[in-house]
Amino acid sequence: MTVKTTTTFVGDLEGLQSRVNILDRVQPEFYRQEVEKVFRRGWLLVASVSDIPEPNTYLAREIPTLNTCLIIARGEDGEVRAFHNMCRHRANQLVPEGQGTAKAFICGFHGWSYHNDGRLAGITDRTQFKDIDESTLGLIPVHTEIWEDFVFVNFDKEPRQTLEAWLGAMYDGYRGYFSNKPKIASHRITVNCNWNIALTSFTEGYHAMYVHKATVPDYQGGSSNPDRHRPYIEVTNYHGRYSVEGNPNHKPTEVEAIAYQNGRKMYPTFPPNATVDLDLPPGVNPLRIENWLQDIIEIFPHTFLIASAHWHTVVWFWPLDVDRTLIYGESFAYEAKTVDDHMAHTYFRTRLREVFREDVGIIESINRQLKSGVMEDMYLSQQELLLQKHYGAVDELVDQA
Amino acid sequence: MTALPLEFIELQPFVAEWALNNERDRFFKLTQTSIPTLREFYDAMVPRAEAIADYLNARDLNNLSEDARTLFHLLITFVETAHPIELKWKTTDIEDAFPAERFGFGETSCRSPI
Repeated sequence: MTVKTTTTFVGDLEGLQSRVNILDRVQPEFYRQEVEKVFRRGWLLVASVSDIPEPNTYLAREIPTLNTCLIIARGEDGEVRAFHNMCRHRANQLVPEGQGTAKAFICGFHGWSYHNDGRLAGITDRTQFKDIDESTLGLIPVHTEIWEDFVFVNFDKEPRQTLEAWLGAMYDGYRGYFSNKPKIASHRITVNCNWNIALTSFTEGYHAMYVHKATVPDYQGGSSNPDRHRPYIEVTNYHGRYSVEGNPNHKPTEVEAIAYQNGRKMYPTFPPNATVDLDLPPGVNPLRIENWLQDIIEIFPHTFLIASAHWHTVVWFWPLDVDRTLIYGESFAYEAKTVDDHMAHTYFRTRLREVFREDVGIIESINRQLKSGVMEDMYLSQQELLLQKHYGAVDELVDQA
Repeated sequence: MTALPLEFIELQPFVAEWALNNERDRFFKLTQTSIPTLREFYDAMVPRAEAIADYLNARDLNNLSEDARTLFHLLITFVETAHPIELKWKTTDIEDAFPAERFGFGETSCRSPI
């Protein structure tokens, strides 16, 4: 007789609500509270350190929720710093969004220049300025901390807690896992949907059997786990994570088999855990389940990560307005050296892309339906525990003075 | 038009349309083509894919000759566009998925060999 997969629940489940008001959350007034109390006060994951691997590399990234753009730069000294991408003279944007290499940033408006550590380097036609102190006119910094391969910023005047406290139980357990993987895919869309609805359509596995029939019909499930329960679900102070069990009887398609024949096994194929030739840190596949496909990790408020044996993905949900969200998805994998590696990478990134397009295909109509005002609340299952935590965490922060 | 290595010359008719060098071009080519057109390419490539991989694995990817580079792009485009055939979609796009024309691509740190 087959032993059925059961779920191990970890963390403080007290106070989680299975019945959640959803109507209020799609209203502009609630959204304004979220922007001020969640996004302006919390630590926000904004970039991967891998994007700026060398001294003098930088990334300019829009933070549309807070009407700004950041320059995230690695200085000549190797330090990573973040600044508003804004000339201190008359607020012109210094560099266009994207990645680059620069020791200095020069404003296209009047030629003011800045070192990549933020210090003002020079003012053109300097003698015409009276009563200014160059030492106070560097780029406007943002509180910045690094965790593993991720850059976090905090837009509060003074952060209310450290990044370590914000990440809580997530902080330890991933040592080195996210580092040293080049970015192999970058996808970007704007959806007409509230950011909470968009994010939480990814952070449960209950939908997988129904939404992903066309793209990954048999990657989960199988006789030991027909309902596709998560073997491990954990909630923390604000965040949550779970492990996804793969179907050991998954039948690779012909090209999937070719792509992973010699290269490493990537989605939706997976290597048996016992054969993973990597020293995965304890936070990744915490139960060490054998048919481990991947972990889903929500880093509150607006990102989730997918962690697998040979790749990871970061997905951002930046609210543009109550009903509009900018979504970035970026995937990282070991460096491709052979044709087999390239086939594995490209097969993986496109199969996952199509699964992602199914997820976002459904959310705009959900948002429209909710705006009808007909349905006030929703009921969430134990398998949707990360949603219970997400909405609980939003409410906790919004309720603060 | 770039020629393929002689061993793979029978795939030459597919080069102009399918030897694409980035994910964005492959995606829009895929979603704008028909299943019968895609199937012709797929059916021609499946039996040759392993031989192509062997041919390229014997070479330095960072220093490919032009014909080998074209072959590489043909192979990778094949791998990236196989899903509609293998997953038995009715069209080259998925029903009910987020519209292809609204889908965007950003920068990666990892480029295919040029």
